[in-house]
Amino acid sequence: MQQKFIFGRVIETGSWVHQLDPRSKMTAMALFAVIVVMLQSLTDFIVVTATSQIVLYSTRIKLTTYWRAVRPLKYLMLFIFLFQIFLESGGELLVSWGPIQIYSGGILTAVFTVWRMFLFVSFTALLTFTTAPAKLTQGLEDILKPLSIFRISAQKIALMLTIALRFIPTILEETQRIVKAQASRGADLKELPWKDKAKTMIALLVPVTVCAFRRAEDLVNSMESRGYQLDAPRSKYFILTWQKQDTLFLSIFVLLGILVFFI
Amino acid sequence: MPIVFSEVSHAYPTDPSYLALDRIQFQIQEGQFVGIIGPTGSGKSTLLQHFNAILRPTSGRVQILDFQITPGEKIHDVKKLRQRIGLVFQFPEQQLFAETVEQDLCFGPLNFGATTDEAKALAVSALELVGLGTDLLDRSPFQLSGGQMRKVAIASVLAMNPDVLVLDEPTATLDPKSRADFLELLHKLCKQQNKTVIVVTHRLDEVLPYTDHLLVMHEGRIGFEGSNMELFQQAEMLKKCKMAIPKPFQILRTCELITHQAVALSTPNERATFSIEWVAHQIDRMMTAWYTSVEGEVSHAAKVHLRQSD
Ligand SMILES: Nc1ncnc2c1ncn2[C@@H]1O[C@H](COP(=O)(O)OP(=O)(O)OP(=O)(O)O)[C@@H](O)[C@H]1O
Ligand SMILES: [Mg+2]
Repeated sequence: MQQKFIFGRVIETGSWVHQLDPRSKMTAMALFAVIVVMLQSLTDFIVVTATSQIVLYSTRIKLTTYWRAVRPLKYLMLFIFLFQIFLESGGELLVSWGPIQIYSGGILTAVFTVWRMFLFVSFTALLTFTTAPAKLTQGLEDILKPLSIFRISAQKIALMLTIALRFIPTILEETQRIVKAQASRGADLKELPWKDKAKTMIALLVPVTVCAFRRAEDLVNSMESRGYQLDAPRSKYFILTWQKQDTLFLSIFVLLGILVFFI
Repeated sequence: MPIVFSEVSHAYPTDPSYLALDRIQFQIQEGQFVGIIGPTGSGKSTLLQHFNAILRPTSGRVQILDFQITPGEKIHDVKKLRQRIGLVFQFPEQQLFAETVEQDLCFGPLNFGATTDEAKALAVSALELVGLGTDLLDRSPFQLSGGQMRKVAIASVLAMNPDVLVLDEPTATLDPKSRADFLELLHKLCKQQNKTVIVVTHRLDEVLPYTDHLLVMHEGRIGFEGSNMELFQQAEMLKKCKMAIPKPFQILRTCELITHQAVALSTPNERATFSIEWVAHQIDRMMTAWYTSVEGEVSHAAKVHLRQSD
């Protein structure tokens, strides 16, 4: 159980990526997302995979940790994979068995789609693994600032995100605690047959939601009792400074984008 | 059958290089009341979760009832193991999940094959054991007070009627009366129904009256294993393990220093309970012995004085 829920947790190693400005990391992520969507040929895929893995490696967090971030999506990925294989009809017909027809194009698209998801999820985990949520949202607040001309409060959005991010690990831990409690009272998720597994999972939703609401209420109270007011001018906890490394980090992705787009 | 931990180590997957348990080795006899103490972060909760295989050792082996818990091997009948070993986690109030108190209490018994009626009866009697009224049965567990939630959570484990009860700081947030009552209940279950009871606590003096055996944990290792009396004799060790020496120990130690007598058991089989009565009795014994010896000296000094004045 423990290993599955690592998404949303900061893993401190003090690497250069950890010290980057959150704005550069976020912009880079956005670029990376665009790049991943535009990947076409096998060479593209290999180049982008290699680059992204090198960047991940340079955070000094184990690569397997990033790969594990993909694990919760394994069934979704499997589903998409099969969907593509059975429904995509391009290239040669490889297998024809009753209503099932598998084309080479289908396999190719399926592999590429799953590959894309893997790249995207494992790489975006870098953002949450290497950036404290507070920095992340402050970066976001800065990036969203121009929205204030449309009367959208960047601070509000940032606050919502801070809280959401802050509570992902807590709620997962809470879930895990209840899973453990249920297991020691004879309902071990791992041991149950499929149908009961689903039932137990649904039974988890109620207490976890209740807990989330209770926490939200406590949080509101404790913030208000310490004088928090939305949209009041506040000093910043982190001072974001853009440094040479940030430009370097961002340019890796700009170059990668150019490479994929034009070559 | 005794519970045996042999060379059990555990590292959490998030930090495989850090051993939360470091080659733990001890034995617990059937029917014993065992206290486990240790400073924050010393690995007590990690240890307890090994008793019913919620956590598996990363190396070593646990032998409990007729089960073997080892790193790799699948346990033959985990469900049976968990039925016979009731584990109350730390912060039990956070582990309630059902819609009503009754459903929560019935969860265990139903999983272990009780019929609905049996489960309901078990729920009621468990609730009464921990001193709560049956009027709570239909309430949502999330609308109870903190202490009530804790009691319900403990009752939900008692309802399974396990042979071994393993509790992680069960009394931490209860009021003094409930705490005393609850330890009394555990003691009764231990002595009358021959259940093995294992309690983690930060209040050593609270469990001393009941414990047959004590384990002191420090940085993932067992710093001490032995009886109450042995712990008293090696009380300095508690300081090394970053723990306070309990009041009864301090009082008796001071009394020993003043009277030049030693705390002693009247029969070898007597259990040193360190309860108020027991401590008072020891002080009385030491003081009397001291007076007798001093009396001799005083009368001797008086005679010498008289002879000189002659
Ligand atoms: N889920 C977990 N993942 C990683 N490390 C953990 C986890 N739970 C506990 N630890 C670590 O294992 C060590 C022992 O923790 P444990 O919870 O067993 O301590 P404890 O003796 O029960 O402390 P306390 O008296 O505060 O309850 C600690 O250093 C803790 O940081
Ligand atoms: Mg603990």
